[in-house]
Amino acid sequence: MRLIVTLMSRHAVFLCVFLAASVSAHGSDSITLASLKEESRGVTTVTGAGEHFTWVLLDQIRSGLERDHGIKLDLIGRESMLGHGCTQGIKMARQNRPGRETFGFICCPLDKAEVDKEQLTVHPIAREPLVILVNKANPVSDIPVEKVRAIFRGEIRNWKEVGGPDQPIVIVLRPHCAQRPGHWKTIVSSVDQFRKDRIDVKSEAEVVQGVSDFPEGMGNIGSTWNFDEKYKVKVVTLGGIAPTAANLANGSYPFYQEQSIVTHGPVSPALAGMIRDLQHGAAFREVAKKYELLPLAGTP
Amino acid sequence: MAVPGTYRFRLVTYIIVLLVFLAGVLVLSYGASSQLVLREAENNVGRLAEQLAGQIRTESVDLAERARMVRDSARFQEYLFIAVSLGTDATALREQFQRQFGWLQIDRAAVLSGAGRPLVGGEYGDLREALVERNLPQGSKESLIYLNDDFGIEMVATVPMRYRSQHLGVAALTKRLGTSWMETVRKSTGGELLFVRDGKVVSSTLSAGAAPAAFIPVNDRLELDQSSYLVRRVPVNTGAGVDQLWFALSQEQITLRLVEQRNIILGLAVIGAVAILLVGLLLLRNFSAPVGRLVSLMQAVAEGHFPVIPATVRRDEIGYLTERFSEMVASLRDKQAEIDRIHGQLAQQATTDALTGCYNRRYLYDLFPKLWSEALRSNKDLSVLIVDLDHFKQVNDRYGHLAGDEVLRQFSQILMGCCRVSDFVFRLGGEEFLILTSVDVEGAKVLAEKIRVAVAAEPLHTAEQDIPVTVSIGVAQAQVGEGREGLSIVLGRADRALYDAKQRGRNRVLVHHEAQRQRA
Repeated sequence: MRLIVTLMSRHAVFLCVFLAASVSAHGSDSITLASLKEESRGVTTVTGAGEHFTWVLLDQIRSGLERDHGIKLDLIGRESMLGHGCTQGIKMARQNRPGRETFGFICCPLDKAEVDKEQLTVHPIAREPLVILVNKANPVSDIPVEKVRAIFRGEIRNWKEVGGPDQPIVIVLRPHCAQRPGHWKTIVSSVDQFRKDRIDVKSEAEVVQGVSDFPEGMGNIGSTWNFDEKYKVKVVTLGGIAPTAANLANGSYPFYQEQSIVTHGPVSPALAGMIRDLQHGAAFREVAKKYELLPLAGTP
Repeated sequence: MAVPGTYRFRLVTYIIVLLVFLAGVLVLSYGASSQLVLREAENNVGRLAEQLAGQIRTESVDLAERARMVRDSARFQEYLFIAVSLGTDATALREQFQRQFGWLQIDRAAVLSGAGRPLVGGEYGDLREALVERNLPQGSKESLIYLNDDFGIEMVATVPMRYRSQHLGVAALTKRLGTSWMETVRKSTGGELLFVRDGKVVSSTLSAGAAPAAFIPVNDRLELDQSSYLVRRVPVNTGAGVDQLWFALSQEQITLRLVEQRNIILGLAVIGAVAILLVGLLLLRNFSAPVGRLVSLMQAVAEGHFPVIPATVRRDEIGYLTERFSEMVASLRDKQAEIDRIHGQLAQQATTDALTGCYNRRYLYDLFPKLWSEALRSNKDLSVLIVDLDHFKQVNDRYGHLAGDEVLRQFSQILMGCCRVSDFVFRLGGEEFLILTSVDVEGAKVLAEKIRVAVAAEPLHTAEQDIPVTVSIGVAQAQVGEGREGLSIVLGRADRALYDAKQRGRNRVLVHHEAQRQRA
């Protein structure tokens, strides 16, 4: 009898430790108590994080996705100054577990080695124009593509060289995903080629802030950024070419990044359905049109 | 009122001694505390000056730390680098500074490029001049300097600004030891602060009228128009040409503390005195008063009284003593009652005849002089009747002595029955009785006749037979002038009258002077 009690008490201790560890692990996965309650009603909680672009898209069609696929969608990282990006998206995707499904947003097409290494499945969503930002006080509203590249490389250092005031140009750069193809590499192919006397930031929010701070500032950012009125920035055209989906499609607008969702391992039908809807659904197409995105998947 | 030598007197004395002692302690402690407060005040001024210096040093360390925060901010370095290297407008830098460091508790901030160009805090021209004058924009080390103005000293912490090993300029943060700081210090220390430059007070916490123009302390004291101050210089290394900071403690403040000290001592003394008085009253009430009552009771007992002592409810030693004393008094009271009873019995036995209950001859000798004196004083008469049973010897012989005794008992009852309450009936011996009555001889004769008739009226009844008896009575009246020997004289006269009555046939009454006349 004493042996049984002893064993039970030991197992109780192990059970408590296991439960505590589970709760802790779930906490780190951002699984909330509310989501646990949803699960008890048969609703799958899906947590996503990473590049803010996908967040913007998903947030706008969230209610339809949740309703149509019986999921509870948790999204992390909106307009964060902490630099949530592709790496964070990949980390989130790798936390995928049955019943605790996760996915990530990324802004660049991963190369095969990284996909294999991380055991990821990439679901292309859309091509997003990279817009060139300048301060609102700057009278310049159009810069030819090559001059943009020259400015980023430091070959042009004064706004008067592109028709602006006699002021030095201040570059605000977020040199993210340096090892991955695409994104800012459509402007300048490597970090080393950017001018050295620049301001490096860790998030897109800081890019906007920096260009807003400096009347002489210039930077680049995805077109899905919600430009708040408090920021003194504007978008310039490139040799008269505006950053639109149509110009992306016909190749006249050269700066873009490819937004994708990544998953890790098998996904539930609900999550697969949600991703499919995101790639092909009418609701997503509406949002894409609003932000001048070029969907990457064809019509199903 | 306490009588000297009594316990109450001692108690009162002790209380007075205690009160005097307390007053002495009060005076001594006040004197000692006065010296202590004055001495402590002098030490205190020095200590407070040191504390102020420590506080200023701490604030300077904090200020330097804040300056390092500015220096170590990568974003601010970048913005500064852009502003300096590209020569951009400094607005972005100022806004960044405000965003990042606007919350810092500082008074002024300035950032200068290495060439002395004001990038942040351009409105502080004096600060820029001071920094440039000391070549700090080109400097490579942190520094702490002090600046003057008419409102006090301003601490300035400077740090060199670098970006990727490139020297960009200097950042300076300031903290003013000005009016508000001085007022804060004043409230916390109770003392005054004076900034002195070249022997003159530049600013102070003193009111405008009280602040002296020249600052000339003598022996660490500063005399103003109406007040005297203990002063100490706050040891801050502000450098040459910068104001000296002095701390001053008013003599009035010291006096105020002294008064506070005195009031505390006085309060304690009053409490102590009240406590002593209360204890004394309690001692008197609970100890001295019961002892006093016991003493009174003992006094009463000593005077022959045995009062009934009410039961006490006290359960202490005094209560126990009172109870034992009460028991003792009750016992004494009982003994006294027994003695009185026995004394009464003895007195009765000494004055009465055991057979008849009449007074005996001894009592006659005691009583007659008193009655006679009383009669003489009040001019009253006193007559004597000697009553003798006729032929009583024959009664004894014929009926026995027991019957004789019964005859005597019944005969005495007849006698006492015939007399008034104020008359006295004595048995002189055998069958002879004597009656003293406060009437004249005529009245006595009437009484005698009444007795004779009563006795002769019917025989006396014994257990076995009736015995007829008669009496002969001789009557005489005491005469004024017979003096203290009157008893034997009047007895003699009554006895002769009795003798005559016997001689004339018995069963008769004869008054002495009648018998004398008849004899004559």
